[in-house]
Amino acid sequence: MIPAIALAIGVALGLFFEPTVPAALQPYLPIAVVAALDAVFGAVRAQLDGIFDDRVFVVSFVSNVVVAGLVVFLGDQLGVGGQLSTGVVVVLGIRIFSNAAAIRRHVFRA
Amino acid sequence: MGPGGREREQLTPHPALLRQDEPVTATTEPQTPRRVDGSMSLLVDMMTNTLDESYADAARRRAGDVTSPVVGSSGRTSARRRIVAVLLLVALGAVTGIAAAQVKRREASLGGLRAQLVADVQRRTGATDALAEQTAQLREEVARRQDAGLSAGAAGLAAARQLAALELAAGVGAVTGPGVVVRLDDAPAAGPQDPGEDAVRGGAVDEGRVLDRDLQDAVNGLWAAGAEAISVNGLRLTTQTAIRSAGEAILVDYRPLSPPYVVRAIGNPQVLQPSFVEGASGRRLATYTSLYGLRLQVERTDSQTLAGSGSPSLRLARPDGAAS
Repeated sequence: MIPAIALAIGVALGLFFEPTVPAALQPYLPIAVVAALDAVFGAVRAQLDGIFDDRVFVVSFVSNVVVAGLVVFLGDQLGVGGQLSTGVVVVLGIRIFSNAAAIRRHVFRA
Repeated sequence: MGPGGREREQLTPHPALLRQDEPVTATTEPQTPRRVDGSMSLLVDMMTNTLDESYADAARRRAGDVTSPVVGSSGRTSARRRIVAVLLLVALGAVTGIAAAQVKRREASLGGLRAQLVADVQRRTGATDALAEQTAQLREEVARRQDAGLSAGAAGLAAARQLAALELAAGVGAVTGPGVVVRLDDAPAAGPQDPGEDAVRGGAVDEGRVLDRDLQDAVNGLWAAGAEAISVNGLRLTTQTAIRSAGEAILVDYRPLSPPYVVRAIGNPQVLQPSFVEGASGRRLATYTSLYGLRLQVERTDSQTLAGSGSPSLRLARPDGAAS
């Protein structure tokens, strides 16, 4: 419950204040969101599995975002930023979907 | 794998953990020697090991910790970590919202930019028109004052006559006389159709369109045929007038024109018309009419009036000997 409320508050803050993001950081925002979502879905699944751990969540969240950002940044420097961000989105998307499937199995037993 | 077996022994009291860990051991332990999809291991791994293994590790450690006495301190740090986790979730939501707002704003600004540019163009065209009108008024007033000033004495009248002759030659003053009218227009199919088709067909449209080169050709042909004064769509050509293109528009004297292009030339019609039509440029244009469907029409006229152009803006050129 608290996590959901926290997320909603965050979205409201972002949409309401609309802070200007430096142009250099703009391409990394969507990637950071997808990477963080992956960590969140992993955490939800771990919670349902009964093995959730705060420390692991915090570390995986931060490292996911940082690594995804670094990979895209490196791709930008090498001129394949677009392709690499696609790759990151695909891989993380697969993980998100399989975690979502696991969560669904837990919740609906189906 | 030795460690795997040991872990399983440890895990047996924790049923949920066992369920979670099962696929991992299943893929790594017994199948390794006879995997047929060896080249797919990366994909398979990606599909099966979706959960961060550190969760399992942490749970394993905790399962070991249950017996150990250091529970109080770990409870306090875990509360702090929970706060960090909530803060991270707020941050994630904020970043999501910011990214969405960013995309929305970018789309809005792209749409607005076009409208803004169009409005800008219209405003500036209006300003140019107003300035041109003002120029014409001022020019009229200058001419009036000039006449008034010069009509005083005999010397003034002589100067006025000389001035009129020079203005005629320079193309500054309006002139009247017989001549020909050359009408040049785009091919019917390439006329003012919907602009979407231009984009679809790409370069094919340009073949049926009058280019700046064609207009230059027509004007040069008329000069060569003996024209004394020429105007294009009412713009008088002088020694300083350029005919060029910008994008898809033809600029004469830096003003954009749209088809049909009406070129009026003053000269002896009996000479001007045949020499133009049979001259090199006239024949070239006739070829274009049959090849690309351009429309060309040459008519004689007994009398037509060509407006004068603005005074030539000579800033640096001085009469020889009068250099300051």
